[in-house]
Order: sequence, then C-alpha cells, then structure tokens
Amino acid sequence: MNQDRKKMLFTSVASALVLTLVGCAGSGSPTSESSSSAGGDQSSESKVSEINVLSLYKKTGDVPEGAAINLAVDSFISSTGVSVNFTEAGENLGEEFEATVLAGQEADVVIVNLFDKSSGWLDAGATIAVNDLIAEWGLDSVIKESAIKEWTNSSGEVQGFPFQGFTWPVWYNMDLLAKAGITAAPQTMDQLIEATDALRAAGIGPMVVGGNDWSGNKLWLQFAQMFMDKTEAADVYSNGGFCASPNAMKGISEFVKARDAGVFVDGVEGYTADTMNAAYYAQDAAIMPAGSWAMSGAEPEIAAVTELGGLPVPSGAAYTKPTAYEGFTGVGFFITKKGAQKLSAVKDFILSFYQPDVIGKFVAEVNVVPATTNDISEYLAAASPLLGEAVSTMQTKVEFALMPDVYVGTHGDALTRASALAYGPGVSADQICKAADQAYN
Amino acid sequence: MSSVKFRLKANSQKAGPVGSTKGLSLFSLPALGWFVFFTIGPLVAMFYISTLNWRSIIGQSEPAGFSNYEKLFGSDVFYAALQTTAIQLGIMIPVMIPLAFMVGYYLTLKPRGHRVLRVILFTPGLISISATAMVFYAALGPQGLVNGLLEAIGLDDLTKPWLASADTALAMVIIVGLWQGIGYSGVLFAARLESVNKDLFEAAKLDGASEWRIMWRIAFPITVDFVGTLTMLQFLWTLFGSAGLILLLTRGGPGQTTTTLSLLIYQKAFFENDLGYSQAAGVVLFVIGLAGMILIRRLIRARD
Repeated sequence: MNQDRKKMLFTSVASALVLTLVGCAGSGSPTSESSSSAGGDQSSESKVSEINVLSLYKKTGDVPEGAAINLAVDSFISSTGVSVNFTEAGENLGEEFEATVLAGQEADVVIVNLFDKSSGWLDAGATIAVNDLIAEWGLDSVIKESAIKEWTNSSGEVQGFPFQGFTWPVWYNMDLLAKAGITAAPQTMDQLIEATDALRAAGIGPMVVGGNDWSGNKLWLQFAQMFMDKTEAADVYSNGGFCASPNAMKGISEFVKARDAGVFVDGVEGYTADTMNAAYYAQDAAIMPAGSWAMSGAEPEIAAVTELGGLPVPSGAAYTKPTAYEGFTGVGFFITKKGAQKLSAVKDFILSFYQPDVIGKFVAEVNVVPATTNDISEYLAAASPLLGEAVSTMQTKVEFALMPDVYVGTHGDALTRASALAYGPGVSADQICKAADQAYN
Repeated sequence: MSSVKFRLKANSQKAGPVGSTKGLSLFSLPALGWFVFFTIGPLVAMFYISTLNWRSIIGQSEPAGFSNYEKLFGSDVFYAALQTTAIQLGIMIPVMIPLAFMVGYYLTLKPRGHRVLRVILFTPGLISISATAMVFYAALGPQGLVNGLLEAIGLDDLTKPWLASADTALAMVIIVGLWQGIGYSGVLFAARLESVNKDLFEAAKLDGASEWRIMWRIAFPITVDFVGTLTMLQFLWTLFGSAGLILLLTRGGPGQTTTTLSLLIYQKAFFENDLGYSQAAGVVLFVIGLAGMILIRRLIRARD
C-alpha cells in the first residue's frame, strides 16, 4: 500500500472515529435542565395550534376505551380550538418514544403506564416532574394520595399524573367449584390444594395463569412475598437476594408445593395472559388471577358465577387473609420537555381526562379503577358487576400484597423468564431462587 | 494461485502510469467513505460504548473503563449465554451443512419433481422471521399442532408446551433454525454442484462407485471451497442473526435456557437499560465471530 493510500485510509478511519465519539457523547441526555426550569413560563408561550400525544390508549378501532378517549379529546378541542395529533402505540411505546426523543421529535404528552422504561424518563431528562403542577392545576384534591405516592420516585419527584388504577384479584368460578363439591372459595393453602384435588377428580382444570409471561410472574411474586413484610419484599424486589432471604425461600417453597400438588393446570408453563383468559372464560379452568382490565372480556354468564377473592395463604404467612394486588400505575400522563413549552394547552388536555363524565365513561365502559377520589358508584351500575365487587365487597376479603412493578424496574423481563422456569415441573426452589437472582446479575 | 498473482501483476503493468491509479483511488473514495462510516464506524462505536456506564439510550453516559467487562466476565448470565450459544452452534452447523450438502447433491440428480422440490426447499428463505416464528409458535404451543397430533395418535403423555419447557425449548429453537437453513443451503449447494463437470460423476459410476461415495469422495472435495463459504455464512448467521427468531419464539426463556449471546446483547440494551454491558457482550461476540471464521477457514484449507 503506498503512502497516499495509507494517509487516505488513516484520515477516513480517524474521521469516522471522531464522528462516532461525538455522536456517542451527543447521545447522552438531551438536556440537563432541572425540571422546574423545563416547566416553562406559561405567559411566554406562543399561540399553540396543535399538541402531539403518544398513547397506549387507542381511540380508533374496536377498543373499549375508544369512546371515553374521544369524549375527552373532543371536549379539549372544542374548548380550546387546539388540534390533537394523537398517535396510538402498542407494547413498543417505550422504544418508540425514546427513538423520537433522540430525533428531537417527541410528543408533548405521553399516555402510558409507569413501567421499567417510563420510570427512567424523568431521570433521563425526557419528561418533567409534576409535583408543583398537581397542586397548581387543582389535581391534588382529585388524585388519590396513594396514587401520587406510587408515581413518586426515590428523589421525591412525581413522574406524571396517575389516571388509571387496577385491582388484581383471584377469580373463582363458583359454579365449577360447586361441581367439584367445593362450596366456598379457598382461604388457606391447604384448602386450595383440597379444592385442586376435587377439581381434578371432577375433570376440571384448577388454576390457570400465564406461566410464560407477566401474569404468571406476578402470581409467582405474590407467592414469594407470602412470608415477607412489605419492607423486606420491597428490598428483595429492588435488589434481588431471593436465595439469601429465608422468608422469600419459604414463599418460593410454598409455590413449589402448590405446583407439585397440581394447583396449576397441566402445561401451565406454556400459557400466556391471553390463553389464561380464554381458558377461564371457556370454563376450562376454575380459578385465575386477573386484573380489573380483564373484566370487560368476561361474558355476563361468566361474571355471574365468578367470585373475586385472593390467593390463599399458608399458616405462618405475613398475611392473615388471602392476598390480591391493587395499584395506580396502570396508565397516566407524562409531560415531555417539548410539552413543557406548551404547558397551557397541555394542562387543558390533561384536565379534560379528569372531568367526572370522562372518568365515569372509563369506569362504565373500560372497567377502569380510577386513580381519583370521585364517587364512581353511579357509573358502576353500567360496568361489569365484577368491578363493583372488586371495589366493594372484595376489599374486605383480602389483604393487598406489595405490587412489585415499581421495585423490580428493569429486572422485570429477566424475572419473568425466571418465573417461567418456576412453572415447569421438577424445578426446585433452589433452582428457582437462583434463576430469580440471576435477573439482577 | 500463482497464475492469478501473475495475471494481476500483468494487468497492473498494463494499467499505465501512476496517475491512473490515483484516479482510480479517487473514484473509490465514496465507496470507502460509505464503508468507513457504516461498517467501521459502528464497530468503533461498539468498542467505545462498552467502556461507558450508560443506563438508557436517552440518558447520560459516563466513562466506566473496563468495568463492564469485569461485570460481564463475573456474571453467571454471560456464561449461561455462552454455553447456550456453543450448544446452538455445535449442533446446528455440523448437522445443517452435511444435510444441506446431501439435499443439494440429491437435487443435482434431478429426481422426478425436482423443480418443485427446489422451490419448496427454498421457501424458508423467503419467509420472514416473524412469519416463521408465528407458524412455529402456533405449532409448538400447548394447544398447538404437534400436541394435537400426539393426542390424536394416543400419545397424550408426550404432549408439552415445547417452547416453554426448559427441557425442550432450546431443542425447538435449534430445530426451527435447521428447518430454515437446510433447504435454503441445499439449493445453494445444488447450484454450485451444477457447475461441476458431470463426466467426473459418470466416470465414477462406470467404475462402480455408489452415489454415496460419489457425493462424499468426488463432489464434496471439488466444492469444498464453497462448503467453507456457506459454513462460514451459516455460522455467522446463527451466531449474530438468530436472536430475532429466539426473541419471538421464547424471549430467551424459560430462565436462561434459550438466551444466546446475541440475544443477551438485545436484552441488556433494550429490556435492562444497560448499554455498556450490552456492548461489552457485543465485543466478545465479535471476537468469537472472528475466531470462528478463522477456524472454519483453516479447517477448510487443511482439507484443501
């Protein structure tokens, strides 16, 4: 290779290197401004003609939330004259949003649940803290304090406006249980195993759960915390250490005992949340743990024979009643840095969702448990009877376990693979805890 | 080889003065620029990012030295992924290449319906990964085709969620990979074998050699260079490209049973927001890929 060629190649490679490094350096935080300065000066805002929204909720197609979303959006447009560029996103909303942030083309408002990705957006400077805005916009008396607490990160910053909550009970098909000779939903682990034997003898599948996905993961984590108080559970879920925690191991052993006793339907490790719902709705299984979002899918005849309760607990557990989950991390509103520059319009847009008639529609048609203090009793009549039960009688039958999502964070996917292993036959408690700890590795 | 060198030398002498070479270099600049920015650039970026503590693609990054490598080499997850990758490669390549070669040789015999057979065998290469995954997800699921067939013939005890069971998930991923690769590679082998002088095969047949003997003792040595190339391509595709299929079929689970190194890179970057660790694994994968290519090349040359 002659000298000219060598020089040419060296220069080209060096240029690429420099550009790459500059690119990488530039791909850090889009801004390091504090959330307060990003809040923007509303008075200095120029006239806004459109706001951009990226949403997990869909307003088109055959979706239960369509009418409620349209009610809120139409009300905003008619009262402000500002148009809404509403982009529907699926499960990849997190990746989609982050890609638009890198391109400087992100939406003003993101409607999504608080999950591993979205819980990092405030720290990354992509969204703003809303502590002050909640009070300024009068939402401090509208949104439940417990919901705001769930949306508050370890630095005390509220990451967004909580909107949709949920309850996550265990559903019992009392008709199928009666066919097996069981007249009451099991309250203890021994009763659950007795019910399992009776159901199997009657040719009925016992408990179905999506062993291969998040639904099975949540149930497994519910078992794992049976003997832990909430402080210990929060620590283990945040940092791992299942094997090192005797109480976590007791819970995992209880899971293994239940699995080996046949509590779960055959081949449960291959089920997903969708096939779980399908099996329960088709009455192929008598028991399933499912959140309030699944209530829309239950036909009236299934809802009529379903009793909501909790996961039975063994003696000596940290809970005295069967456990269920509840939370307010379902869906909420994040304001991006761009949105902070259009704060007046963004305020009107978000407030349009907190109007009582909009919340009522969400309750009646989407079976949402709102994160608000509104009286929703008048709307419950139009909702699934299961939702009414979930927010009333069920509350006295169960104790609420620690909802793991905010603690598990980015380890969620790896932990789901670990729990998928747990549902397989023959996997020991030691193997399960090791797999769970690997999720934090 | 020496004749090739001679011809190249002769051509360069014919090319005339040095100025023409410079002109040619100028013409090749855009291509060189493209190569540098889009091939070497990302490679450099991968090495660089592996030295950062970078928790999210939209977040701040800071220098971390070689701590990502320390974390990687001290992590059970990495070794589990390395082992899974070794099993996947160790089974797929030795099974796929000989079978594909046999398929290719069979096609050159032009059996009845060989044209249709070629199309059928090539079909996996025309189906997208997502469509392939969907078909096999449905077939291997708890209520899928495979379990349905087993139940129909009274083998209910053998039914299981093939992709979700720790005992069978990796085997299923390998089988789907083989299904994708054997027919496709077989058609490519057939194309190469078509160019071999058929008189050699006819002469061997007259001498009483069986098809099996002709295939392995005559056809294989003649096309060994192409076998090496295809082995290298399948090795690289399996090592780097199979993550997409695994992600769609099993997401790397249950546990870590189907997490290969290439999937680990994706998981760490996109699920666990650890870009530095992810790219450190990427560098290791790159080195393994390079080492594998050199090894295959040497093995083929040793046979040559």
